[in-house]
Amino acid sequence: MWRASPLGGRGKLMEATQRSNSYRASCAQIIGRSHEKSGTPCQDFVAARVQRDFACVALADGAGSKTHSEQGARTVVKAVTRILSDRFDELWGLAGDDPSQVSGQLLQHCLEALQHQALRLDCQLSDLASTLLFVAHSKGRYLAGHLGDGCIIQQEEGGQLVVLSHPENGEYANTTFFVTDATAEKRLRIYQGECTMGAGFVVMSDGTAESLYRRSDGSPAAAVGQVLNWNRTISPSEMRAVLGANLERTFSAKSADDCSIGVLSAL
Amino acid sequence: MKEEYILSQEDLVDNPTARVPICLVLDVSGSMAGEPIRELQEGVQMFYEAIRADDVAQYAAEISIVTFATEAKKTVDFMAIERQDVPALVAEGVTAMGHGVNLALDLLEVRKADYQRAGVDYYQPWMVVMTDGEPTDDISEASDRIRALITEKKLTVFPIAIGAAANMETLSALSPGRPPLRLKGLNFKEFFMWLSRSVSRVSQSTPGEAVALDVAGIAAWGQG
Repeated sequence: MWRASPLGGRGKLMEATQRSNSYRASCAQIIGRSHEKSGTPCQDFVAARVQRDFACVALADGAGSKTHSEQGARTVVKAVTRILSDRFDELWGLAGDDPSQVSGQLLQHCLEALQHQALRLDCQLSDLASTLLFVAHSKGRYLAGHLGDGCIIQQEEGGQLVVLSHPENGEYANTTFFVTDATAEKRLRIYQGECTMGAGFVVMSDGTAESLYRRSDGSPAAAVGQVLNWNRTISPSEMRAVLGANLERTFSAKSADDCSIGVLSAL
Repeated sequence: MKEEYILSQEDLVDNPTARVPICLVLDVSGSMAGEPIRELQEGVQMFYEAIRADDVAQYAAEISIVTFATEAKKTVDFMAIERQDVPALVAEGVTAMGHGVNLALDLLEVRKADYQRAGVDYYQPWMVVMTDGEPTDDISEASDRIRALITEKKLTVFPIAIGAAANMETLSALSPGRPPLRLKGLNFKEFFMWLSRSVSRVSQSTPGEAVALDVAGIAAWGQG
């Protein structure tokens, strides 16, 4: 079953939780103070999908001044989730041999979806620019991808937190890389591996990373372990409320930007 | 929601605010004596006050000041704004603008390297050059450096002419892509208020956000 966090504003916090016997996945997003002030929509979009032997969290952060980037973020999250769900085994195997093939195929799929959306909205492809982060897990194997800023944190066996994928900015704080860039295929980083049940992953946009990722040394905040612990132990409805409350009360205090987070636990 | 499920600020990381380095390159040659230097002094003072009063810019903006007359010198080095004092500007000597601009570019490069070493994010540096006359030294090296930086999108430069005697053609050599502007009368305060608002906007911009200049606001202080 597909459940996503639809676009919304502050006071319309969007959350989703997915649960199976093997996985729990939750996500939430909130509009930033600066966007609320300027009347800009929330440009982050995050979704979680859980099936019996498959789970995925995907997140995209629309480019600041692009006119339809919130639609672009939504489109790439849906597109990448769909292809990962349909072709996980094949893509995971291919990533072991040639990760560039996987980044090429995933981007092609996203760009086709964006082209369709651009036609529908009568806009340029670049108006739909966004970053992209995802982690999919199935039967002890994970496949992750990242283009742009934000970060992906992994909890390894034994509980140690490591940053699986660091933010990639340009030289300046207000620059990063997007799915619609000409260099996107080279910049989409693919990670593939095996991990036992008990593993956990957190994807986050740059707004949330202000609270959970230390830029000076590229280390994760201890709080990420707490979030993953809650995701494994409390009920899905409680986790939904927990993520929403922390976005509202904690993460948004450190950033005026949109904030979003996706959490995936293999039980 | 139980409070035990709310993360405390101590559990989170504390990242420094991304910085906007700004270098003011100010003509303090003898021709600026009298009312112009007094108005410039008050304008710089007002710039500091406006930045300090801005919730975001007070942590993001970092200012250095280079003055040039017979020689160019670093009058104020980059540091936290609350630790800086506005210097007393004294007008005397000739106009070593080329040296002043080169010194400012050196300071901006050093500051960027400091940020990179410390893991502090930063925005594109800004340089403001204000003069009422003509350089008495060679500006070709400064002009070449600026052109290269602007081509690579590594610098934003605002050359501002003060009074009718300022040579706009010379200032154009320091401003590829954007024509220099002439200050309306001695409207330094209006200029520096505009500058502080612009810095504030940049310091709040997020990835992919092109920050447009407040062109309408220029009318309060500038003329083409």
